[in-house]
Amino acid sequence: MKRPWALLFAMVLAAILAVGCARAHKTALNNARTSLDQAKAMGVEEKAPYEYYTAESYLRIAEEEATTEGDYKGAKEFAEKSQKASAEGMKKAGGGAK
Amino acid sequence: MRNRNLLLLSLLILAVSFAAGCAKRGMTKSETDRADAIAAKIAKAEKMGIVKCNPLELAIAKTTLDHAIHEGKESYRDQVEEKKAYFDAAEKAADDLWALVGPCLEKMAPPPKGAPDMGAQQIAPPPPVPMPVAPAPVTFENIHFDYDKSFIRDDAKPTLQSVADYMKKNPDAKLLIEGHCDERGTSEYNIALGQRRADSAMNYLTNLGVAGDRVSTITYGEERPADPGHNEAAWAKNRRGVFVLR
Repeated sequence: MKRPWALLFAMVLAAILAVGCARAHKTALNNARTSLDQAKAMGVEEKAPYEYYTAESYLRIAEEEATTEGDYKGAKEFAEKSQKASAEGMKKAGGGAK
Repeated sequence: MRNRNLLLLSLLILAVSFAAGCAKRGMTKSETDRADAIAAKIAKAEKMGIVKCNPLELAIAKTTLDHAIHEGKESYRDQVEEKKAYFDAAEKAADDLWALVGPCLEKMAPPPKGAPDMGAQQIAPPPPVPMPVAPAPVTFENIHFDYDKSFIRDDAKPTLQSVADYMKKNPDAKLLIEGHCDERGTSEYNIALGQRRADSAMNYLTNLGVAGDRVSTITYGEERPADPGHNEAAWAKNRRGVFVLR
């Protein structure tokens, strides 16, 4: 009679892990989108185009990984790269502002 | 005790299965070599200053390769065709980038002594375009864009000037700018690119003094080609901005 509890525990654990993973990639994607919007508003596309386009391209890949591939780990990884590129672009654009 | 042994045996089998599964993931030597060759091509283009002329193409080449390597590492070794498609895309992006190195170097080279100052010619205002007198349906020429670009080309400036002149002479007129793309690239990407093209034209008009609240934009991406062909001539026609008076 102990086994149903073990099974239930394993199922709950798996559900928690799945929800955690899904949340992690969604948060990363949202952060990347926000950063890219912010970069666009700051004129990074003109001031630091390489960084801007890198961020845009990584975000596209991240979205593709999440939606088409179902690879949430990959989506999170590419979303984080996108956010990093946006941040570098904003730093560059801000530093060059007059 | 017997149950415990069974449990241990199950765990052992599970661990071995996982290990065997993991061992099959990753890139083969030929894939690694191919990735290295693509990376070398991109690095060479980068070293030659391509970032100054074609930052978009450089970003696409690098991120596409990164994506291919990710897929290469994450996929099973027998998923050869799937992985090949990603590496093909990365190689194409690197080749496209490499093709731009020559024109970029020419662009960056200083003009020969005694040559006319092309920079001054480029920033000179475009010649005024006569406005139609009759109020009957007014149409404007389409403007065109370079592949994967949204900046306003010199040949589009006279058209934009004529649109701006018309808008100033007709304060009640409202304008819709449509952004279109050729068929290459994903639909999602082209939707965004079409929007950037429409925005770019709108910004140019507002800089010429047209009030922003009289102009709106829409993107059709690759959905409404002007020419249904699948060649460079058709694509060049399809990468366009269209002005619609409302």
